[in-house]
Amino acid sequence: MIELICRTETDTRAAAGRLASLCRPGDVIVINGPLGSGKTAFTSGLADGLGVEERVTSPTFVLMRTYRSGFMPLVHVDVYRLSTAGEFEDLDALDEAEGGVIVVEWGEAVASALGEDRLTITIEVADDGARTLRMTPSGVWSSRPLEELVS
Amino acid sequence: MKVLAIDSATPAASVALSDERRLVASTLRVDRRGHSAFMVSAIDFCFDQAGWVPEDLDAIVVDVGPGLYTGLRVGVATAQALAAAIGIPLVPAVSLDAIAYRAATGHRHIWSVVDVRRGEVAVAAYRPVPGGVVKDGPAQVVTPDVFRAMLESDPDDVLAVGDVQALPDGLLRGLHRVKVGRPRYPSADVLLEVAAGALDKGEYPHPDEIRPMYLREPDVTINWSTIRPESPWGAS
Repeated sequence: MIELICRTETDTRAAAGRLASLCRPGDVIVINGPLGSGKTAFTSGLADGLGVEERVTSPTFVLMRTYRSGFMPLVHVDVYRLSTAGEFEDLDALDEAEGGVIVVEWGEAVASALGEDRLTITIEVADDGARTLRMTPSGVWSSRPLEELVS
Repeated sequence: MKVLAIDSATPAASVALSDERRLVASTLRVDRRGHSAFMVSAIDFCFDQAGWVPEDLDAIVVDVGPGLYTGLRVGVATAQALAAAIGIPLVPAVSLDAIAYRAATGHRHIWSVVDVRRGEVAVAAYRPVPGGVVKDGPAQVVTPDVFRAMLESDPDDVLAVGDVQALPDGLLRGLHRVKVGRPRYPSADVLLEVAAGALDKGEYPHPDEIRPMYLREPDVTINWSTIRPESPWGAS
């Protein structure tokens, strides 16, 4: 597990941009954190790192957004409005993300559908506004050099 | 009577127009993704070819499933929005019925199959009758093994139609009384025929009551309060 302290949204985006260089086709990233903690900012930074040209916006209302203008597809899902893990499978999100990266906000709720290979990022907001990004790798992520993200 | 049919319950999405039960225009595309982008342009295309405007319509028919979640929602939402905007009836049709109707065989018992993912298929049995088929049992969602057992215990010669290719390889091996036939998917032009009776008799629910037909037992509910105390839009 590694921890990154991000004092500003720019820091969060930059950290996510660096993470993009460690991403491989088929990767699953789960991201947890309260409203306004920077989940969309993180995904937006990751999108920049993957060369996505479109603007990344929150998927909370539409459940899933796909960006295909980068080096590989990026699928951004928010499962908070789903009520069962089966509904996540119905979304076909993993197929949609074939050959690309999928970022699932609140993905631990549908962990059974995601499999073991994933990077779980939990964002905590301190009183001074700084964000702590706690990254826990499992499966294939365990051998990725996450320490490169600390700069 | 001018009718629009919309089908996006399976990987095949299609739109068709009929006038007095005569097919006027139709278009179909097979791709698991992108039903929402296809649907509106396909409707525009058919109207354009027929020289109609939406206000010419007297009714809309929509495939309510069983089928794939995203496609069903696209089809039902599009049909409901159009029906509400024009103020005309909306008639639900069942994907399995449309497949069996088009299969039309002389004597075989027809089993219609639709892939609903998560390792399951929706199936229903039909008997051929002059001019169509009649349902011969309820539509149900089962695993491929259960479906094989259902076919095995069917005393009749069987024609299996629909998305048989979605079943595991070799599942039907050794079932000598089972023949596999077409079509693989339902389509809007067939929906027009399947729904013609209900349209003539005026037998259809209120448009707001029409819902996608998933046929699934509800699975385990996510307990959000233990995972995330706040609502996605802040305090709940």
